This record gives sequence, C-alpha cells and structure tokens, in this order.
Amino acid sequence: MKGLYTVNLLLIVLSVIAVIAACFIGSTALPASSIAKALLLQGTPGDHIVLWEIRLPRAIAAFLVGASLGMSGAAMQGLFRNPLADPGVLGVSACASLAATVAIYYGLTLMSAWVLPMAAIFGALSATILLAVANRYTKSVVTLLLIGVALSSFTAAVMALLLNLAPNPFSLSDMLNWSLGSVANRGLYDIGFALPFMTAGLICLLAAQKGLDLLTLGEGAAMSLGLRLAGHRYLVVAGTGLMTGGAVALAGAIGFVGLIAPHIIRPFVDYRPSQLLVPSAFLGGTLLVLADICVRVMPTSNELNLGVMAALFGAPVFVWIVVQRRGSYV
Amino acid sequence: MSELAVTHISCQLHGRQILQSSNYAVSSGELVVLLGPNGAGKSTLIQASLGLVRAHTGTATIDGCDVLRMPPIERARSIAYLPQARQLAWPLNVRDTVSLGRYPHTGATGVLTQTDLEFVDKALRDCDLEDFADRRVDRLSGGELARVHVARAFSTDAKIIVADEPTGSLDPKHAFAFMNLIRSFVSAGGGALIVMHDLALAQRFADRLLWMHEGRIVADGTPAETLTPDRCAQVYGVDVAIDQHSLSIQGVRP
Repeated sequence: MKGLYTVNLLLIVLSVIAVIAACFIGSTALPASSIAKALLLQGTPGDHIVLWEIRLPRAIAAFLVGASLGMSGAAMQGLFRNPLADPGVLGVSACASLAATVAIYYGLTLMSAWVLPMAAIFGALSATILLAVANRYTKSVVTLLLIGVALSSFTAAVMALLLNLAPNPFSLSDMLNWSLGSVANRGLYDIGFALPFMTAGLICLLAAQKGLDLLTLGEGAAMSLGLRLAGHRYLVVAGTGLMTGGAVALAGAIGFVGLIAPHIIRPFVDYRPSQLLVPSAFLGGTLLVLADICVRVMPTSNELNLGVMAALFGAPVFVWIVVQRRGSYV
Repeated sequence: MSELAVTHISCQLHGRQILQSSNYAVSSGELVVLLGPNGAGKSTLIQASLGLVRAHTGTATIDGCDVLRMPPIERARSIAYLPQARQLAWPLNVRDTVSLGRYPHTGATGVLTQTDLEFVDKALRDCDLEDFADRRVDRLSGGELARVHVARAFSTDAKIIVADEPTGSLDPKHAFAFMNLIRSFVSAGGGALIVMHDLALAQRFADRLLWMHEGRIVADGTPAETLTPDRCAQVYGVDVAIDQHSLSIQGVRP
C-alpha cells in the first residue's frame, strides 16, 4: 500500500515536471527567464501569448489526451482480462476518429461546437459496445484482437474513401491531421469541450475499478462475490467510450499510449487492475507530453504529427509485449 | 444455524432440459458431496442454487430468504462459491487474491478495515499460506494455488461454501489436505457443498452424498446408505467393491 502511494506521488511529480518542461521548450527560441516571468504573470505580452495561449494549453491537451488513453487502456485490459486490449489496438480510437471526420466532412460541426466531441464519443462508444458484446460470445483473445483489427481496417477504408472524395486540399489536410493525431494549436477553448466528457468517463471508471479486481477471478466468481456483472460492464464501456472519445475529440487518433502505460505500471502495483487506473493515467499523460516535446523540437520541415510519433515508438513496444507474453500472464 | 434449501429447481439451456425438479438442503455443520458423471447437471444445479444462472422453476433460499431476490452482495456474504474454472487473469500476490473474498463486505470502495484484514489473516493462517502471502500466484504449485482459492472463499466468512470440483486437478495428497481444510471449516460450524468425482474421498469425508444422474437427483443420504455397488453402476456405469472403509473400482460396464 505504501509502495502504491510512492508510485502515484512520483508520477504526479513527473507529470508536473513534464508539463512545465513543455512550457519552456518550443519551436520558438525564448529565454527561460521570459517563460518564468510569464508563468508568474509578469513579462511582455508576447511571452504571455506564447505561454498561456500556445505552449501551456498544448501541454495540458497532450497530458489530458495521454491520461485519458492511459486510463482507458488500463480499464479495457481489466475488463477483457487481456494486456493487449487498448483503444488504439482494438479500433476504438479509429472509430471515434472516423465519426469525427464524418461530422467534419458533412459540415455538422458548424451547427455547434459540441457536435465534434459528441461524434467522437458516439464512435468510441459504438466500438466499445461492439467489443464488449463480442467479448461475451467469444472466449478467445485472438478473436477479440482480430475483431479489433477488422474494425481498424474497416474504419481506415472508410477514412481513405473520405480522403479520396475530399472536396478540396484544405479539407483533405484537415481530415488527414485528424486521423494522424495532433495537439498543435489546441487552446483552452478546445480543452473545455473535451474535459466534461473525460471527467464523466473518469467518474465511471473510478466507480468500476474495484470490480476489475474481482474479474481477475473470472466472471462466475466475480458474480458470486456480489458484482453486478452487466452494470459493471456498462460502467466500464461508458467510461472508456467517454474518455477515448474525449481524447479523440481533442487530438484525433493516437495509438499505443493505452497499451504501454498500463504495461509499465503493472509490476509496480502488484498487478492489481484496480490500482492500475490512476497511475496509468499519469504515466500516459506524461509520455504524451514528452512525445509532443520531441515533435516540436525535431528539426523537420513540417511538424511531425503526435500520433505518428506515438506509433513509431508504440508499435515496436507492442511487438515486444506480445513476444514477452508467456502463457496467460504478462 | 444456516441452511441453503433448494426446492423444485429446474433449468433449461438452449431448449434442452439440463436440470429437472431437484430438491436438496445443506445446513451448517454438514459436509455434503455432490456426485455424478460429467454432464449430469451438477454445475448447473449449483449455479442455479446461487442465482448465477436463471432457474426455470423452483426456489433457492438461504436462511429462509429467496436467493434469487436477494441483493447480490448480501447473497455473497452468506455463500462463498468456488467455480470449476478457477481463473486468475493477473499474477496478483496471494494476500491480494485472498482479500478479494472481502468484497461482499467492503463493496465498491474496496477499502479493507481492520476487521477485514483480520479475516484475511485468519484465512491465510487456516490455509497455511502465511509464508506465501507476498508471493505471486503464478509462482505457486497447483496444491498451493488450490489453498489460495479456498482461502479466498474462507475470507468472506460466509456460512456456507459451495465448491465445484475443487480437487479435480490435485494429486491425492493435496486433494486430501484440501478436504481436511473443508472438514475443519464444517467442524467450526460452516456448511459445505462440494462437487467431486473421487468416490473414495467422498466416502471418507462426506456427511451426506447427493447423487445426480441425467439432470435429476437420484439419491440423498449418508455414504453408508447410498454408496452402493448398484448405485455406482447406475450413475457412473462402473463396478465397484465397497466395504466400510474402502472402495475400489473393478471395471467398467459396457
């Protein structure tokens, strides 16, 4: 129990350091003293704009997206009792991203600023519900992953179709950005539209976390210990759908964070699914803030998309986890 | 004095009658063994009795309260259940695994009070697991793992334990040790319903035998009354030689 507090405290400190570091590092070279002054609400208006309107919101957006994906991944792994479950791998992010793109394509987002997050959440929830139903009828991990692969391929195909039919280069670039994932140019205003959904998801998942421990024993034993299986499943599905949808609404599809963060944390919390959620959120957030710093300082002519960066690092780690798996445990 | 009483319970699955109007009871201070060949409906009978699968007809009560209408958490406080497939999806440590048995008392908050911790410690002690408390469950032998599962059931402090083939994968020594644990639980005032296939072990430990064949209970009584060569031939299709203290299988009927 003591170890658990240490892990959480350490991760909170790391998160804060990462976000502060993200404020000091950027494509525009600004002396650290100017940023420090702006942090203390002093300094020039220019420094203020760079810090409060560009760097800090971007760092917070990256953190929130990473945290949501990290926690969703941990919760899905607990529900499916499978360390390879993750919103990216199982196609949940892709579905959310597709729904958001469709909303943009048909101009629905012009009706209200809430349409985009709602569309992303609708996509994420549809995919999560489909997976939860499939998981009930198939006991095989391979089948579940294959359904995820099929879901990803299908959404990729529809996305390709939409890109093909894009009316002009601007909407093409807009949609491409969306499917590659990025937190560039996100302001506090954008965060405000995703945050309520993420918070609702957080509440659902925190309420469901103890039940995830019981599921370790299998559904029959969990039920015999007094867990209302159906209600618990709805709670986890709603929680991951809301959090992943919120993350996609803010940044587009970003994969592998939900896979890697819980995998790293698991040994430190004695493999308890319930204790995995909060630290996975902090680690996911920190990882994505760090990845975003890399994206910004990389000397590329066009800024690399955050989702591309996450995939470049995440995919090899995914393979490593699969290879490392022996028997049913990680 | 607690009692699990099941009356006229029947079950259908995919249009097939799995369980036909069955009656039985298990009281505290009693070790009941449920016998029957594979596919006789033993697991379904148990699960229907605990409200884990929907019974088509009949009722199951614990201390007079309808199991099927009870809030799940209240039912879980009265009956601990060890399913046939004893899974552990993650390599938790032994203490955390045993603590899961306290869920019916802690609820969704999962915060263990001093009383909860005492019950967990007692379960670990009773099952001789104190030295393994911090070890991961994937680093235990089959016999040790079986003790972890029974300790998890003990930690609930339920009056009745229902276990589905708990000795199936255990060697004779560990199976005997397991039944000893159940016996001491019963001696301390608990009630137990155990499904098993080991007739010799059943003869040695059971206060009462329930015989199941083709979805119905065909006999209910002490081993001395019901464990006969004729019944073994009828239920299992085997020829056995039985005397007061021993039992051996002589052959299989065509």
